[in-house]
Amino acid sequence: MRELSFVVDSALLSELGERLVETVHLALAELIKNAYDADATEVEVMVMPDQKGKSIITVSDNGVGMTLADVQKYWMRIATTIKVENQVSARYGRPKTGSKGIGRFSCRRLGNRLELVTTGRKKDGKYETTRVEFDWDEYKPGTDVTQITCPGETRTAKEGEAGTKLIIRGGEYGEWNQRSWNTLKRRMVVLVANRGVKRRGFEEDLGFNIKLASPDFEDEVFGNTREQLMEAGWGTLKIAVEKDGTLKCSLKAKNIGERNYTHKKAYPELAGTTCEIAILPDIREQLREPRVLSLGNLKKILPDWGGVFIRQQGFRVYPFGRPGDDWLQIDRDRGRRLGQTEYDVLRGLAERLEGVERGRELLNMLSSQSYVGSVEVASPIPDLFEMKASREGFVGEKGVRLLRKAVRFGIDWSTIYRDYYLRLVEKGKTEAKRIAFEEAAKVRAEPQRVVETAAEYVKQEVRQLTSKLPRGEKGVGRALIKATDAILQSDKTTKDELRHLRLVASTSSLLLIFAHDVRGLLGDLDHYMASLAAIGKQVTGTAAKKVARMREEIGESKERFRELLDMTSLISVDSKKAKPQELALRDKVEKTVGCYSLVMEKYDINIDYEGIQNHLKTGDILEAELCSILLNVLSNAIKAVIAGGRTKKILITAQKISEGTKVNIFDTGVGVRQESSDDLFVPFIADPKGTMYPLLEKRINPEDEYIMGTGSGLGLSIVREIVRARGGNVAFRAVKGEWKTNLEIMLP
Amino acid sequence: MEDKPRDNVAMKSKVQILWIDDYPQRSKRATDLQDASGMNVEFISVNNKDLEEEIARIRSDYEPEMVIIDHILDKTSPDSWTRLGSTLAGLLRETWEECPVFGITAAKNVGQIDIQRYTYDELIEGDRFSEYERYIPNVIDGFKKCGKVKDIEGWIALLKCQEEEIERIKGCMPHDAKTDFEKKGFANRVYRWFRRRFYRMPGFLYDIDWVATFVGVKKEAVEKYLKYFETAKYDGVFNDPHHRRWWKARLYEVIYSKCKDENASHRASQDVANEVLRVKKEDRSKCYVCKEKWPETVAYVDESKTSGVKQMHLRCTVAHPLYRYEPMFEEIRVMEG
Repeated sequence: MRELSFVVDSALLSELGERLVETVHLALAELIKNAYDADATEVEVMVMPDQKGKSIITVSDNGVGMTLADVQKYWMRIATTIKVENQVSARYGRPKTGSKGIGRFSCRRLGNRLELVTTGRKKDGKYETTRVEFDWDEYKPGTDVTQITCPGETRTAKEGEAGTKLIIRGGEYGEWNQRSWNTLKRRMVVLVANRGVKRRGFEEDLGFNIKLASPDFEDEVFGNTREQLMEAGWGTLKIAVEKDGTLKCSLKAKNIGERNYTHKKAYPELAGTTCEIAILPDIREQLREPRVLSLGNLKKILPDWGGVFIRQQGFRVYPFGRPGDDWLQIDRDRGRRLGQTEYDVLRGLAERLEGVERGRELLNMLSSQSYVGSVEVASPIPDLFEMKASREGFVGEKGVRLLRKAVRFGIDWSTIYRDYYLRLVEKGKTEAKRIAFEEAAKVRAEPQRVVETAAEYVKQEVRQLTSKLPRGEKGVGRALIKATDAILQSDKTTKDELRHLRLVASTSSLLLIFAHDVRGLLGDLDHYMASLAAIGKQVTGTAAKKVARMREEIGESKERFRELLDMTSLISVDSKKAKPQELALRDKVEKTVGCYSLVMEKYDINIDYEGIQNHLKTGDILEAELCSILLNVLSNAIKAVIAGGRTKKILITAQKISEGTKVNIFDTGVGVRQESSDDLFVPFIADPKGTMYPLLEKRINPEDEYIMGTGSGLGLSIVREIVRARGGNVAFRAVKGEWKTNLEIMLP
Repeated sequence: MEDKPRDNVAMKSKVQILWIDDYPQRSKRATDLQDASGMNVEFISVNNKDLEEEIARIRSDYEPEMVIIDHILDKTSPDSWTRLGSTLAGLLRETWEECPVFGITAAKNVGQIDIQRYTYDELIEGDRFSEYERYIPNVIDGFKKCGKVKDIEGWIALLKCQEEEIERIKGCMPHDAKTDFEKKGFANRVYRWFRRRFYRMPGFLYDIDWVATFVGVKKEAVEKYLKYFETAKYDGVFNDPHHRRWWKARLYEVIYSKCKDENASHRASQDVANEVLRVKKEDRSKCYVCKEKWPETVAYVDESKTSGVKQMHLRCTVAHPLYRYEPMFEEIRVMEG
């Protein structure tokens, strides 16, 4: 029997071209991938209509191209195994992206005529250009593929540029639309994220970029896909150092618009340095152009291509920006939960932007891989950026340290704006809900009065609905109205408290400055003590005694200030870090009473806490909380006895009972009427009878008013909040004997 | 004292203490130190200066006898590569291995300035600096003496302890404080152990609270009885005149040697001391908890950071959970609630 062999029918080409590659944008994507696999650094793609409404597609790349032998061996051979055998590209070692030798059949999907022009470098160094034309219509079902010839030509030249150009004609231009164009771009951003890398055993990859042109889908003649990727994230940060060292930062970001910052003459050593960084959070809502950059692509791009490179005269300097390299110390700071920027001027910015929390302004900083870009270094100092011969870093650390400071300045600055953006988003959500309510209810709800308006609306509707209910069921409606009233009242109180607390909080920075200055003053007092000690050695007799006395007095004042500072730092402790613990009550009472020692002396107030047993300890409570309780109740008692004007006595007793630690504060002040005593725990009601503060004003020296506070009426409400949160309670109790007030606190 | 670079050759031979600070105003503290110690102190202001350049210049110069550095150097040039004195201290230590380096800070509660403070031999709160003025010359002297030590005996001799204490002290010393005498940095290693453990923890040495408790006298009254314990006062190497200490063994010796009761050794130290010192009734110590006489320990009232210490009976206290018990030192205890 004769030996038999297969014959390939031309129908196979349409099967591969049209069935495997369903859509035009997928087909074009395959051709671009081929360019990437051919080690091109740039590919230009143009999609245009001809006069008959058919498409003309050209794809030109500057890859390694093909010689005639390559064309015959690979291009003209169906289902070649070359991509399976060589999984990385020859020149740069790129992992191949094409789909196992079917890319060229994508041409069949894109049109019925293809012109292939490719130039490859032969082993002898000469450039061989091959041009072949394919008329796919000739590959009709029933014909043998191997019997159809394609016209073409080949020429060889000494000089030339390698690359491949495909011109595809006769496709349906109507198949192209904006959506398919955007899908193509979205698929391609993964490729353009390659901004250059060095792979062991290969030439340095210089990166890959795609320029897309289409009169109907692209604004510019050639849309730069890399630029579009850079613009697609949350924001783009540009930094430039001018001749005189002035650092100019500009940020274009979602919901923020364009912002600029100038840091004058900050980095003269870096004059000429420029930087562009795309800020790419992997959160879809935060992307400016999700049509270009999908979340899936972002997750593919960031681990390999994230990070900020350093380049010098266009060449990338390693290892800066490699995966895992944290030369900007972004991940280090994130790991340490570093909330505060080290740049003073930026702290000021954080304070000015509404909603941004000063001291925590960097907590929303992204990981280093989410900052994608590069810095082009320049310096007027010749050796500052002297590259090592291996191009693995610079000789000397100073240049990189300076560069880090400059770039981190920009990144910290943009992070503060991102934090601000996140606050705006939250605000936006609130606003959207308000508008939705307005539209649904057909009522006007002022932003400041949304809760009131909504609650009033609910009340009104419930009233109407209730009127239609049978008599026996009206109770539900009445209960709903009462519930709404409770919401309204609670909202009012919360707003009042918030308004006041905002005021109080605004003074906290002042308190910090004050505490800092007092510390400076303590240092001065210590210096004066030392000076007086030196003088004391030089004088004798009365003068020496006088100097010693002065030194002693300064020492006492210093210690008093120290104690007050101790109390200040105790109260302003971070309650999240502190741990509740059992506390020796008498010790804390002693310290709190000490804070009022000057007032006690001046107004002849006697505070007796002898009855508190030394070993009595509270249950678990924060030290700051206990001190806050004691400071507030003692302040009230002192005010009451000064206003009372008679015997000024305060007694503090404490005992352990089964429910906890019972502390009673008695005073001989103006007293509290039992019927109005509960009002004193309501915020902003400091003096329900309206008698204490006028009396206090009459009896207190004007210079001591600040010690007593303003009578905000928050003290007892704060005490109650703290005590209740710890499972205790606070209330006024009946009095007897000389005492006018008895405040009882049940601590845990 | 002027704020100028160290380029004066005549000055060079005299400078003993170098003070590096970014607050020029602090130069007056350096003057205080110079006046009180009688040593030559040079103040180097790094205000608005590049630290890297300054330190390179300082390191290339001769070695002083001590360096004092401001812990936070936030007023140096914005390009300075660090803002922490502790980083600087580490750098200087590379060059000057035997030189004591103290930090100074405006912050309070230096115990909370975590790991950075361990770069210094000591970190001082700025408003407590006058307490160190008389101590610093002793530190410098102590470092010099430690530098000359050839063996453990030579080192122990610097403490001027009782002979019978020598073996016990050797027993509680860490390995690196009793070996490698010739190796650079011995003085620093030994100073840190001495200052942070031996001098600070009650055991061999007692502070004023412990002395008062040991002899059964209230803390407020103990000053008038201290004259009896002059021989017990610590006057060895690194003696700190402001934070005085007494040898516990010598306190024993003083009170028991004065007692004529043959069975005195069976009696509590408070009992014997009250008798031989003729302590007035109102001066006698009482337990903070039970009010009964002669508490034996000094304990914290609670575990909070601001907790004070009081005289208490052992039975009225429990072991402080935040402190580890170390043999040969007193157990740190806290009041039982």
